[in-house]
Amino acid sequence: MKTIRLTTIFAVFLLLFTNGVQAQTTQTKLDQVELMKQWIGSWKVVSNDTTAFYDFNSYGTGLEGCFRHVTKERIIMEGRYLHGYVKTYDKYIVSEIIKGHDLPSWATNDMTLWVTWFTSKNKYEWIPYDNISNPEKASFKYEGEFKTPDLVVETMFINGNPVETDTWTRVK
Amino acid sequence: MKELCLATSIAVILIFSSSVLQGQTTQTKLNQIELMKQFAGTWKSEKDDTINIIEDNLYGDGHEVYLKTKTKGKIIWEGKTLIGYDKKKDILIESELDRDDPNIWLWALKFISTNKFESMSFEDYSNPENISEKMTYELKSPDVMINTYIKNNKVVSVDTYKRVK
Repeated sequence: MKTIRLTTIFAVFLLLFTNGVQAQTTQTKLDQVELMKQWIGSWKVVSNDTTAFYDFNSYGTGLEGCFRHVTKERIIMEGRYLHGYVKTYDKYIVSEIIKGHDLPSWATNDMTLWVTWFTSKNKYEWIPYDNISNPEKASFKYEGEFKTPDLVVETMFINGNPVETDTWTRVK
Repeated sequence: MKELCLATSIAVILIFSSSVLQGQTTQTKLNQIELMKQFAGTWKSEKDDTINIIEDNLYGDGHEVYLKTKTKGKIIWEGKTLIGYDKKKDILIESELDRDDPNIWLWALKFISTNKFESMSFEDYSNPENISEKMTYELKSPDVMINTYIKNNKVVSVDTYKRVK
């Protein structure tokens, strides 16, 4: 009787422990495709005398969109982008092309590639594509957080030091 | 007098050779951005009951492209791409998002002559020994483009596109 009870207790313990481990494993895997949908809509970012407008639309399971930067009622820069998932890295690649007559010194007419992924349900990172295999070595990155579905706070880091923080506000 | 003639002849030959070499060097460098602009417009290819359409719109120095394939009048595939220049590698990069595919695809495009470019996986471009397949696009005339798919050095398919507008 004692042996049966001990065996039963042991079996129950194993069952509980296994379920616990499985639950933890399940929670760790984030659904990047679903989380990226939080961006769908129109957003505004105000920085000094420049307002940036960003539109994200779903295209299949990816995103497509456009942006424009307006300074003193003049569009100084605009662009198009595509966001698509890459299974190998479980991350999103963002491709961006820009046009403008008075591009800021940091902007380029070249195609720009980025990598972005969610690190939790409401936090994400954004790094240059060249660092896709070694994200921890990115000297330049953005870290952002959805404070609410309509408010994102994003900080730019250079060599690990916060340089600038912007607030994204959902317009619609 | 004879020595002066010889010296002059050598000098002329040297000057001429330098000019030819410089000319060859200048001709080798192809302007990827400008050459790609030749492909802007709407193109259509037809084979059996399948129609492929490419709508290539200029966007600054880049391109915004919409592609679709129709069979018996029904769209069976569509996608969007962006094409832009990469100064470091001196190539064009094309990113492709298909409506029914969750993945994004990156392609490296490089003009090998003034009217022909090759397209291959962006990852493979960085590792040429891995290139097993590629596409070529060649302008036979301003209104006719030939698209060839090559795998393991063998031509798999050829499509002829005609400019619609």
